[in-house]
Amino acid sequence: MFSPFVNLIFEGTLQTIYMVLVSGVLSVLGGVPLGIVLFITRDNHILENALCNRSLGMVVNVVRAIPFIILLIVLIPLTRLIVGSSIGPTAAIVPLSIGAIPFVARIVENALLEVNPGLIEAGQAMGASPLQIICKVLLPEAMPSIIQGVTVTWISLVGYSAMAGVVGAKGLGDIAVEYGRYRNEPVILWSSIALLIMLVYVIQYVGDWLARRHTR
Amino acid sequence: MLTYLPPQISPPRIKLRPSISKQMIITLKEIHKTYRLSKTKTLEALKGVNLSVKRGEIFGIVGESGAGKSTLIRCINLLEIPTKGEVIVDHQNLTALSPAELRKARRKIGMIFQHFNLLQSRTVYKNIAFPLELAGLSASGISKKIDPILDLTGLADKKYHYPSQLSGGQKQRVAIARALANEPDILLSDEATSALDPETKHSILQLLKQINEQFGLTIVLITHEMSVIKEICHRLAMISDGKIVEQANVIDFFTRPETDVGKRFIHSQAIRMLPESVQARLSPQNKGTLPLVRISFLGDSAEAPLITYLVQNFSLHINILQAQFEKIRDEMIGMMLVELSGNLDDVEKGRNYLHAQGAFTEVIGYVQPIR
Ligand SMILES: Nc1ncnc2c1ncn2[C@@H]1O[C@H](COP(=O)(O)OP(=O)(O)OP(=O)(O)O)[C@@H](O)[C@H]1O
Ligand SMILES: [Mg+2]
Repeated sequence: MFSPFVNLIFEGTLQTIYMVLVSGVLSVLGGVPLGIVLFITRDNHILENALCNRSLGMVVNVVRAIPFIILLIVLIPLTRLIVGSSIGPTAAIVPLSIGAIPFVARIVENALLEVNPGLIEAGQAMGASPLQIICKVLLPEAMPSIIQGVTVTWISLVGYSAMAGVVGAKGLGDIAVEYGRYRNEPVILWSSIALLIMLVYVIQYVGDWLARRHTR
Repeated sequence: MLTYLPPQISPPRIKLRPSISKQMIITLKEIHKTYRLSKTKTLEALKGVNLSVKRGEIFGIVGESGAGKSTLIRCINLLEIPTKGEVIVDHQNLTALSPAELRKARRKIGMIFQHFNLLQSRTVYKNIAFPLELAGLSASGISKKIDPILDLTGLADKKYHYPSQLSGGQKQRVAIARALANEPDILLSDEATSALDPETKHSILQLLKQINEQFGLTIVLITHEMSVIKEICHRLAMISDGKIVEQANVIDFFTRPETDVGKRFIHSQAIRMLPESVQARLSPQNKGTLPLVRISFLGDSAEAPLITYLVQNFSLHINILQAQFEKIRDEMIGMMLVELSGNLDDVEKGRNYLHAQGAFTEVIGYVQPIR
């Protein structure tokens, strides 16, 4: 009884970490550039472009408006296309990332909006190109808020990965539902919950630490 | 006793310091700037501004809030693109440059701001390095340039501090250092001392003056405070409602204003210093009243006992209502408000004598004598 229990939980933990880590990284890789584009194409910003801004903004809003559980189902064909299957942790990464990218994009856009516009102006006055303004002014100055926002996203991903478990993504969430609800194994249920909580704590701790390092 | 004064006789004009060349470094031609407020509403912030700044001078632009000062100075480096008009800097028409050429031209125009605009995520050193990084200098090239600038701006011991650890005055020094890093020909200052206490303000203005004298850097500064103009500017322009209403040499402006706007400004300043009882008896027209004369003394004559001499030699009655000395740039200026009475001939001789001494006199109103 002891060894299979440990194995089960251990495997579930690794699967959850795998899903959160990969979709977390992908959401940053997709969300940060998208957020930057949303910001710089706003009216009166460095690469003002109303058409681009509105259409991207609409896509972001639409994806964010769809409840995650529905997104999971809607994206099954796409997931099959990319991963080859719609079941398992790797398959779950597709809807997790697609759901999180717009979230990160808005977080980044808001963080950039908080940067003192005087700094952009000072950069322009010193002859900075738009790319230099993004890389040397906007991102470094907004870094603490971006890190905090990304931390929140990663923590949400822990929760969403558990939800994805319901449609066959495995991981700790799946174990908690399967063993807690259907097999009435409270020890396994509470162990998975404890591990999910620990995971959230670790993410929060690392996020706070990184944000503090960037705050001046 | 009735008195009137003879037509004014002008003393010689004051010459500019020789370090200022006659050559223009900035020329603004017919600059208009119209902001679109909504689909139907527009706001014309600049209404045809013509301005020339000489190489090596400190040029001050004053005006009230909303007059268009910031818009104007931002047109010089094209942070604001004029709706109409040309901006010529160092023989180059900035309005005709490509974006890449404009960025290159901007490296030779430093700018400082009221709220400093330092990068919070960078140390003092890294802030000053910023424009050099933009220009593509290597790390070693950058470090060689920064130490002398830190010494010049008095920041050597703050090299690795972050802006949040500095006082306002220190932040503005960092901003000045950053603006100087690329060895610009021009420094633009948008209300750079407005957020500072009087003492810090003075030290920052002195730093600007020192940089101007040491490197011949042309400075264009805007301010809403005349005291800033008096402290360091060679020439000034007054802007009101998007138009330049006065351009003058600063010392001339304060001693012998020529335009109506200048006179009105100087006269109202002078009158404001009079006791209220005198102000109540003052009128702009001569109705058998005593002329109120503003006498300004310049340079050495400020210390000479002119009034004593005047009383003794021209049998004039002089009632001194106000007298003060003031430093404008490095010159001492004396200013007096007096009621003059005496016979016409003596008054004229007296004024001629004053003019010969380099003083300037002007009637700014008439006072009803108390009987
Ligand atoms: N970006 C803008 N959009 C619309 N109107 C503007 C903009 N910038 C300035 N204005 C308007 O143009 C006019 C001149 O503004 P400007 O900022 O140049 O004044 P200022 O002389 O610098 O005033 P202050 O001393 O208050 O800074 C004002 O009426 C202002 O409301
Ligand atoms: Mg202003």
